[in-house]
Parts: sequence; structure tokens; C-alpha cells
Amino acid sequence: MIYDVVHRTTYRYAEPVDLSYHVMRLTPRGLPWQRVLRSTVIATPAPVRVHDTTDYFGNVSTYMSLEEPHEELVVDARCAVEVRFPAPPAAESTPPWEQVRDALDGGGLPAETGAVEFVRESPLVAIDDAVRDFALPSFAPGRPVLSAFLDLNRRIKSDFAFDPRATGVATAVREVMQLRRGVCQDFAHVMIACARAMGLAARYVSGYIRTHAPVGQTRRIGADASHAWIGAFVPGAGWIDLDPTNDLVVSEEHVVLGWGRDYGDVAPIRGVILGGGTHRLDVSVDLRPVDLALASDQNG
Amino acid sequence: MEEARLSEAAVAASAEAKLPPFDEMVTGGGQIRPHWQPLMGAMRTLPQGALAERVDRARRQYDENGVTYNVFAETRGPQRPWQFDLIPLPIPAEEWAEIETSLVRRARLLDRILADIYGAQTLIRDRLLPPALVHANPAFLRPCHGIVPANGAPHLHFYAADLARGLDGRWRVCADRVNAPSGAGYALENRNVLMRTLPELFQASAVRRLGAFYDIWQSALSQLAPRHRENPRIVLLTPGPYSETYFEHVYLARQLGLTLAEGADLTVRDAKVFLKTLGGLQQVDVILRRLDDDYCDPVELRPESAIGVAGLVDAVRAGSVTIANALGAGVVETPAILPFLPGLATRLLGEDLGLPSVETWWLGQRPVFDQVTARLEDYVFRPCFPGDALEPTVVGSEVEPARRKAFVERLAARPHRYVAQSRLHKSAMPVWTPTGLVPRPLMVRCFLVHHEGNYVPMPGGMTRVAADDSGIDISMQRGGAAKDTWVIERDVVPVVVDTRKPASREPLRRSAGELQSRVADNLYWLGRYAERLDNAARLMRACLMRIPAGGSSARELAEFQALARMLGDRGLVERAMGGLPDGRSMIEAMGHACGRDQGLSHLFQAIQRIAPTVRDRLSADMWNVVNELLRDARLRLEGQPGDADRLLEGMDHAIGVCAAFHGMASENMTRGSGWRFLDLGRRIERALHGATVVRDICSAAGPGSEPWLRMLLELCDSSITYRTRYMAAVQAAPVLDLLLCDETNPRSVQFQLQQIAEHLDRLARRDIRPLSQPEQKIARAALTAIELFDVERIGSTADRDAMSMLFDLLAGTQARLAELSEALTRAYFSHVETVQSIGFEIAPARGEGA
Repeated sequence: MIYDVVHRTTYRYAEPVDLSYHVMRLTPRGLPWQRVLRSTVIATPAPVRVHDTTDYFGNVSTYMSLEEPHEELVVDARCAVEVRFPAPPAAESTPPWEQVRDALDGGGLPAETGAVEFVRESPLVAIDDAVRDFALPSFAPGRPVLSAFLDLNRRIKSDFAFDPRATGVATAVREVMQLRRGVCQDFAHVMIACARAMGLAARYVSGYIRTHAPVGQTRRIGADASHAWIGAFVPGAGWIDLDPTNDLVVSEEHVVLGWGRDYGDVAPIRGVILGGGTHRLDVSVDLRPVDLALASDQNG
Repeated sequence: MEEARLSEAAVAASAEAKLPPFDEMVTGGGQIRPHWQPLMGAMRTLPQGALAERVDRARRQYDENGVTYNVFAETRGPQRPWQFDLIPLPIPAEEWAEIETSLVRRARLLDRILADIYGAQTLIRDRLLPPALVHANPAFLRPCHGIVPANGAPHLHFYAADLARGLDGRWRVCADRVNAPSGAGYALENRNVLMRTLPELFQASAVRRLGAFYDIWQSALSQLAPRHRENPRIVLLTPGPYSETYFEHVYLARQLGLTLAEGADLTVRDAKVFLKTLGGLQQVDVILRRLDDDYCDPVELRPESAIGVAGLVDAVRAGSVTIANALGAGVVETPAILPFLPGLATRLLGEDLGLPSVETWWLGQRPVFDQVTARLEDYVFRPCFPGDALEPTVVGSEVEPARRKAFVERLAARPHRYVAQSRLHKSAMPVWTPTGLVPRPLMVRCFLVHHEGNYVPMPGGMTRVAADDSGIDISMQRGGAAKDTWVIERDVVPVVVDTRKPASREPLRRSAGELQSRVADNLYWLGRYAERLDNAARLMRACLMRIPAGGSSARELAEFQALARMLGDRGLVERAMGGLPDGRSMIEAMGHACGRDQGLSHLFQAIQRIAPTVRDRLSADMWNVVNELLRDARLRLEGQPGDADRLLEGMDHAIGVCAAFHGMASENMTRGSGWRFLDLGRRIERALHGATVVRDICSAAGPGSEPWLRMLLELCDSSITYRTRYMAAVQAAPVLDLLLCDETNPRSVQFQLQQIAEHLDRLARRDIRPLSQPEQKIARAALTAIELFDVERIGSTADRDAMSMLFDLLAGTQARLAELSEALTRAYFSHVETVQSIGFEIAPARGEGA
């Protein structure tokens, strides 16, 4: 499936901002299952410096600084990508979760997978008893690891209410566990915390989800916005992407921007402004499947 | 193999616990060790009681030099006087040689490990370093991965190691200090004070000098510069005056010839770092970092850091600036790495480690965890990552049997965050107390700097002794004391080699050239607050002298009430007191105002807040006056409710100290821009005071009444001037002329305005701005208004027109002074802006529903 994405972020400041610095992760990652056909990030007013680097996790990170006073900043990220996630293995064929845990803990696993990086707590993912207690029912002894992950994915969707007003970006996992409500970012953090509480590897994936649902299905939560889900490590298959907000196995309706240990590693835009007073943020995302005939033309 | 090592250590630990500690001074046979003999001999020749007197002298020296250690930095708590002990720790040259060799090797090793962690990470892939030890360590700064220090600089420029000697007499490294090591300034100051107070000791032993180390350090810093290495601009980045070791930052900046800068003094433009000065932005080449690395840049590191420099990581990545130590260096400070160092040394250096580390086990590995927790009583348990540093150290043998299970469970929840260490029974050395020498456990901090491809150790260090003899933790924070550390040559007195390169000839300079905007801002406000305190004390004094007694006349009562109202208007006493207070309640109100968190003490607090930030701009004597003002004058005033005499004395004292401060400023400060801003603050405040007081009194009584005019002269400190000019007659026009218009009276408003105008002209000239600037125009307007005022029209009879002109003039002057202060801020201080992080506190598409 090929998508055209327009992601516009607008900051309006109460007072002029004299200087600002931003780090953006708005360029989709090239992956075996995701081809980036084109991608641009354009800021207005024009920054003095724009610089792309590959960050520690391999994501494209765009650094920019603005040195002229401005009262509004618009960042337009546009891309076209073709995605087709590989089909996950049959859940029952995956190894028992304890075996994965021990492999991650004790070695025996080639470090190159990089999975060990995603086993421990991270700044926004703290593990406590509430997390452990919630995770346990999905991890019956000997249960195949993917089956456990799928169960967890389903339980988060059914036990947590989607409520954009309940949480903010700084809301801790602990609080989300109490509230039992939140948004995609919170659910991803909860699921990651549960996985890591069991000694498994899970990473935070930032991206987009398809705007219009296929005919006959209801419109999915999370449309027209940036989205977040998780990657679960399953030896043999690599990373399987699961979306606890929608209880989905990610296949071809998600576009990946990048991943990290938690939101903090892959925030779409973070930055520092000097001056500015209070500010307002508007974000709009338009993700549109490209007409297939046209797409095949493009692909020659 | 792991198992065998563990149980061996356990046996050794339980055996060791019963032995006395190694004695630095005396052998097992009761003999004084040879390298102590000259030292102790020299001590014995001191006359009776001399040592106590020298201790006092040293105490005064430390105090005068302002050596402090801020104990509770985060709560802006007290500056604790420096704790010291005069008996140095001598180390024989042969023994020192082994320490040096080991530490040089260790520094090279840590630098190589850093290069790998922030580069290819082959050590993790090859299992020489467990992944969690790096990945789960908050000191591992991922945004800094892949940055290669500019110009071949090392990651580890400056390294410190804490050493202690065990029962077997062998030195061990207890901790590696890598992030932003402190102590090198204190070490030099300890040496200097000891040389001044006990010079006799140095005649008896051949002690290696420290000076050359700082020269090498200075040259090493220059060589870090990515560009113009001949004359690079190097700053010492400090967290600011509330940092525990701020004294040392000021001291080292002076010693090494660096500009002391806080985060707010620096700005990043187009991936280059600049110092914000009155003369504009000056590019910075090297940053000696005393700020913890994770606080250095809110854009890519801790977003909540308000003391960093936005964009710094990007500038480092671009290679335009070198930071020493490199950002992220703190990752190897964790004690969790200690058990892996021997293997890493073999792999990376092909050598053994030399001096061992204190025996340490990282609990992040299951077999180690199981074995260590089976014998809790043999170990001390510590958190090993920086975020957990506040968790206490737990001595295994002190965990009650009933709580052992819970304790092990706590460790098991996050085993990778803890280490177990065998308890080191540190060696002891004598410490002087008034009742005699007592033995105390000690630790030595050694320092090394990277210079021309190798590490050069400081021949000495900072020895710290524990406050008591438990010796589990020795730190200045926990009340230990510092000592000088000597490396002793065996026989010959070493020739002092001056390794300083012949300095290239310095061009003559008439100014320091680059006053930071923030410092100018702070000096300006220091000037204002000191003057405001002076004025406040004068008003209160005048009021205290008019406390109504039985026979007070109606006029005296009216004067008293007018003063009470003025104090109320200025927020110096509760405004409710401004009505018709009686003498008793007024005294109490003033006493209260001098107490904590009240009118006058707000001024003291303001001065206390600002003064440390400009400390490196004040001479030692001025600093002492500020200290005096803060400590003594405040003490005298606090807690005197109800005692008018004591309050009066206190006011006199405070006025005297303010005068001393201003006097020193005009006598001892060079007429650079720093002095101009201090004086501008004082002049603006004084002009405001003059205009306001004249206005208050004239509206209370009209200008005609003689007693009121006398009070006005008193409040403006111009009584004597008036008397010498006009003998007895006190009339309105001459008084107002003297206080407002007379440019020869240093207390007149016009005099202040002239000074202000001159300062502004001089400051503007250095900017080479051809046209008059807004602040200059405002000052001219204020001057002209007073010049044009016809003071002769103010007679003793009330001339309504004349009076309204006077009030217009005073109100206009007040307004212009306020405008002037704002114009100054815009012209010179506007570089100082609030920084806020965005995007981290705002979810992606919050409210729109992802």
C-alpha cells in the first residue's frame, strides 16, 4: 500500500521568539517493509541551520535552529511511502516467553539484534507492582511469547478507555495504570512496561495510521493524527509491531517514522525556545492511500 | 571461577574485620615511618600552643579567601566554612611512582572505553561489557553517541580517582571521577594555606610543587581548541553560585585564566558557541565543564534543564567547540564497571590494571547476584547509577535478619542498579584536635590531565579524612575535613623546573573587554540594592530618632507619622502601620521588618542572591564587606523587636557598611564597564530616593516649615553641606537647590543624573554607536528638566504654581528614571532571556486523538 502523508505542526507564540532550536523526527525510516518514495520537511520561517543526522536508534533526526524573531512556526512534513509489514509467524510456533526472557538476560543471544537495549526501564517507562500485576495474567507458564503479547494487546484495548483529556505527555505509566484511560502514547508505554516487567524486549514506535477505514468497518481511533504503537521482540521473527490502541497486528495501514525506548527518544518535534511567552500548538495529519493505478505508474 | 573468588573474598573480609587499620604514620613495631620523620620532627620543634594558633590562622585564611563548600546546594542552604586539617599526608616518591603509573594507565583505559561506548560498541558486542551496564545507565547519553571529539581531543580530558589503602597496605581505587571532577582547586588552596601557615614543615621535607600541573592544564586546554589554538577563548562552565563547589569554579577560572560562564552567558548560533558580552557575541572554542553533562543542553539532553546551553550538543557535533570532559563521559563513573576493568585493560591496553579497584560485584548478572545475596553480611550495597544516588549505602551485616528477605527482593527487582563491595578498612592517619592527635580513616583524590597524548598526574592531591572513625563514606558533604597531600623526594630537594613556555608577549590592555551581559545586569542590581538598603536604613534611623515620648510636640508627632507613612509606602513596615501608629508599635514594626522574610531582610536577601554571581568581579576586600553586610549587619538587626537602641545601633552599622562598600567600589575597582554598571545602579537608586523623599516631605508639610526642611536634609545626608553654606537659616529654595539642582553636592539628584549620563556616554562609545541611544536621551531629558527648573520661585509662602511645577518636576524625574532602567535593560541585558522546552510536554496531536 502506498500513502501520501502531510503532517503540519503549527506553533503560535504569544510573544516573539528570538531564538529557537528543534529536533524533529518526521522523516519515515527506510525499512525492508517500508519504502520511502519521497520525504521533505519544510519550516516557515526558514531556519538558519537545518541538519539531518541518523540518531542512535537509526532514525532520521532533523535539527534546525531559527535566529530571527518569529511569532509563528509552521513545520510541514510531507512524504510518500510504500508499506507492507511481513506477516507475523503463527503465534503458537514462537518460543515460550520464559525462554526469550532468559536469552535476553543471560546472553546466548547474538547481541546484534539490539534487543537488549529495550529490556530495561527507560525515562518514561517505569515498572512497578501495578504494571507487573496487570501483565501477569497474559504470561501463563510456557505460553508462546507472541501469543502472550497478542493477549496483552487485546487486554489493553479492552481494559483501557481512549480519552484524550485524561492524560498529558508527562503522564507517568503509574498514573495511566490507575486511571485506566489515556491515548495511544500511554497505551504503548503501558504495554512496553508490561513486556519489560516480564523481562522481554519492547520498543516504542512513532508514526501514522491510515485515515479512512476500509468499507464496512468503523472508523479507527487515532485517525488524522500522529500515532504510536509498540514493537515486540520475538526471536526468529525479529520485531512484531502491535497496536494496543486498536488491538491490531500492524500490517499495511501504519507508516513508521522511527522508534526508541519510549516517546522521549522519538518525539516528532521537541525543542527549546527563548522568549515566546505562552504558546498554542496545532497538529494536523492527512494520510491518504494513493490511487493504485497511479502508484503502479510511479513505480514504473 | 567467579564462585571461588567470591568465597575467598568473604573469608578475607571476615578475617580482616578483626584487625586494626593500616597506620600511615606508625609501623606495626611502633616506629614512625621514615617519610613521616622530618614532618613530625618539624612539628615537635613548634613551641607549645603554636599549632592551635596556626590552626586559627589557617581558619582565617580560608575564611578571607572565601573558601566554602555549599552543603545543601539544592536548597540554597548555608555555605559551610571549609573543614581542614593541617597535618599533611606524605607519600614517598617510590610509592607515588606506582600510583602514578597505575592512574595514567587507568585514565587511558577509561578514555578508550568511552571512545568505544560512544562509537562502535565492540566491547558490548564482544561481551567484555554487559549491555545493561551501558544501556540501563542514565549517564549513557544517546544523543552524544557518534560524536568524535574535535581535533583528536580525548573524551577524558581531566580525571580524578579516589584512593584508599586497605589492611594489607595496598592502595585501591575506590571511585573514578569522570563527569566533572572537583577538588583540584581545593587541593591547590590547601597547599597554599599550609605553606603560609606552617612554612616550617616544608623546610624539613622535599615536597613536590603543584604549580607546574596547573600550567600544563592551561596549555592542555588551549590545545583542545578546534581553531585558533594560539589564543583560543576558553570558558569554565559552572552551574552557578548554588553549586556545592562554586568557590572552586571561581578559583580555578582565575588560576587557569578562563572566563567563568554560566549557561545563560552562552548562546549557540548556527552550531557555534558564543559568550554574550556587552561588546557583542564572542565565539568560544573550549569549554571546561563543571556542569553535569546531562544538564548541558535542554534541546537534546534533559529538557527541564534551565542551567544548560540550548543547542550545545549540535555545536559539539558540528565540531566548532570542544567540551572537556566530553558530554556523556559520566557513563564510566559507575562502580558497576569496576569488576570488568581488569579484562578491559588486557583487551584494550594489553596491560594489567595496576592498582586494583575496591572489590566490587555488579548484581546485574544472575550467578553473581545469587552468590552475593547468599552472604549479605560480607558486603556493602550501593546503587550504581546516578539517578539512584540518593538511595543510601546499606551495610549487609547491619540488615536485621527479619528484613533480609525484603532487602534481597528489593535488589532483585532491579539487580542491575546495584553493586556489592567488600568493605574496605581504610588506613588511618593523625588529625589535630585541641585535645591531641586522633587517628581518622582517609581517602586521597588524585588528579590527571591529558596533555600531548598522555596523562600527567598532579604530584599530590586532596586528602580527606572522615568526621569519625567509621570510614564507610568519606566526603565533604558528610562533614569530613581536607588535608594537603605531599609527594616526598627521598633525599634531594628537587629542582623546581618551570615548565611554563615563555609566554608570547601580551599586548597592553586597558579593559577586560568582555563583560558578560548577565554579570553587567547583576552588578547593576547589586548597586541598586546596596543603595536601597542604605536609604532604607536612613529612613528607619530617622524614624527611630523621633519615636514619640511624653513631651513630644504636635510637630514632632507629625514628623514621626510622615516617616511612618514613608516606611509603609516603601514596604519597609506593614502598610497598616502608616495610619496613626504609636511609638511602641512602630518600634515593634521596625524590629519585625528586620526579621526573617520582612521588608529590610528582602533587601539583604536580594544582595545575598546577587553577590555570589558577581563574586569573581569583586576584589577580596569588597567581597569581605559584602559578607560583613550579609552576616554581621543582618545579625545585629535580626531579633531586636522592641529595642529601639539596639535597632538604632544596627542601622548605624548597616549605613557604615554600605558606605564602606561604595567607598571600595570607587577606590578599588578599575573604571571598566563592570564598575560603570555597579555605579549606574547606585546612582539611579539614589536619584530616585532623592526625588521621592523631597516629594513625600513637601506633600506632607509644604516646603515652608523649617523643621521639615531639616529632616529633608537629614534624610539626604546633606545637613552639614547646608550648614557650611548657609549657616543657620534653613529656607526652602536653598534646601531644594542643594538637594535637587546642585551638581556639586554628591547627594543631589542632578549630581546623580550627571554621573548617569557620563556612564551612558562612555558605555555607548565603546559600542561605537554614533547616534544618541534611547537611554542617553532619557538621561539628557531628566538633566535638562532639572537645569531649567526655577528653584528661586519656591518661597516660604505657598505659591501654588511654583508648587505644582515642583511636583511635576519630581514626578517627571521619577518616571524618567524608571524609563531609564528599562532602556538600560533593553540595551545591555536583553541577551538574558527565559528558556522553555517545548514538544516534550506536549503529546503528539494531543486532543486530536492518537
